[in-house]
Amino acid sequence: MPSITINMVINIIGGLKLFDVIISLTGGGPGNASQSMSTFMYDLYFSRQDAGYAATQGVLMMVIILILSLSALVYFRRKEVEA
Amino acid sequence: MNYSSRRKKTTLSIMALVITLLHLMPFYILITTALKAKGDFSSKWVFPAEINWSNFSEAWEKANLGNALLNTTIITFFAAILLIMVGSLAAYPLARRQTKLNKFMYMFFIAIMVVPPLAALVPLYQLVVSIGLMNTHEVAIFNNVAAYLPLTIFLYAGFIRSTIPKSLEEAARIDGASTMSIFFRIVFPLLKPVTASVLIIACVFIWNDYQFAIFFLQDKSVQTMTVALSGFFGENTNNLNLVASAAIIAMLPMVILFLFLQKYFIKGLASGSVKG
Repeated sequence: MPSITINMVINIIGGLKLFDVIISLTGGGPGNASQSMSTFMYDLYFSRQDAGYAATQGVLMMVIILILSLSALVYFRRKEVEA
Repeated sequence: MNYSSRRKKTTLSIMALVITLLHLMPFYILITTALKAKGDFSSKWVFPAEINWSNFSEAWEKANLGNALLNTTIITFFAAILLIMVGSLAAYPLARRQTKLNKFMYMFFIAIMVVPPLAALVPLYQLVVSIGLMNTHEVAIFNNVAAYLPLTIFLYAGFIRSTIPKSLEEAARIDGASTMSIFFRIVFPLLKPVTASVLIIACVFIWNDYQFAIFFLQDKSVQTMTVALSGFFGENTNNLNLVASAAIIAMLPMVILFLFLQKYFIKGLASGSVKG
């Protein structure tokens, strides 16, 4: 069970900050359909030259990942105790 | 062993086999594609009737892989050395001296692991531009060291805390060794297994690093393997056999390193410090 917890949390974090697969396969397109948070930030900064928006997106991404991974960690830890 | 547990074991092995096959399938397709000539339109499942090695040399020349291989090797080598030096030196006091500050620093490093490195992209990019490190090897080395240092410290600290006996260090202290020589002569050699795993993890991640490379190493002369490969893919979508060869060249060094270190890694784990 502890290994399931760790793997779930690591995979949630990894999935939320997915970058290279999207950039090399679709580039975020068609349109914005396959954009992840990381690629969206990349797009904002390098294509649209909007540093402020991109920085905000970076902070927001960190907060979202923190909240989701922490809640997943707490949820799975609780399950561990019950089992 | 009773009947039901044996059946469970068989089911588990079959599942493991299926998963392994699923993971190996892309590599099989990669190899068959890489060995086929450009005009060979047979199914990707069929092994080529005529093995064509010229794809490799052609891909090597066309994609400028020699230069990319050199750049990636330099970056990975220095970043891994720095990581091991700084990481082990930082982890030793964090694991051994449990002061309030050290506990806080340890938690701080763990917390950094959750932060995606890309979240700091904008300030990082502006910093790199303003200190003039764009398109240099150094920027990739420092970025990768900073990104994987928390993980390294976490691995080293856990290993030091759980497996290295304090009595060894105390004995050395009585014999008059300084803290630095205790670390380099006694503790560091015992850290070999965890150094091997840090080396595997760090080298594979840094070798495959794409996000930092695409931001900070845009110039062709400092291109890394991953960036050269994705550029080559974009240029050669009609000749995927060449791209497959280039991809095999790009992944080969890490596979070799992994196989080599894997053996060493298990050996290192088996032999304890107190036994020998």
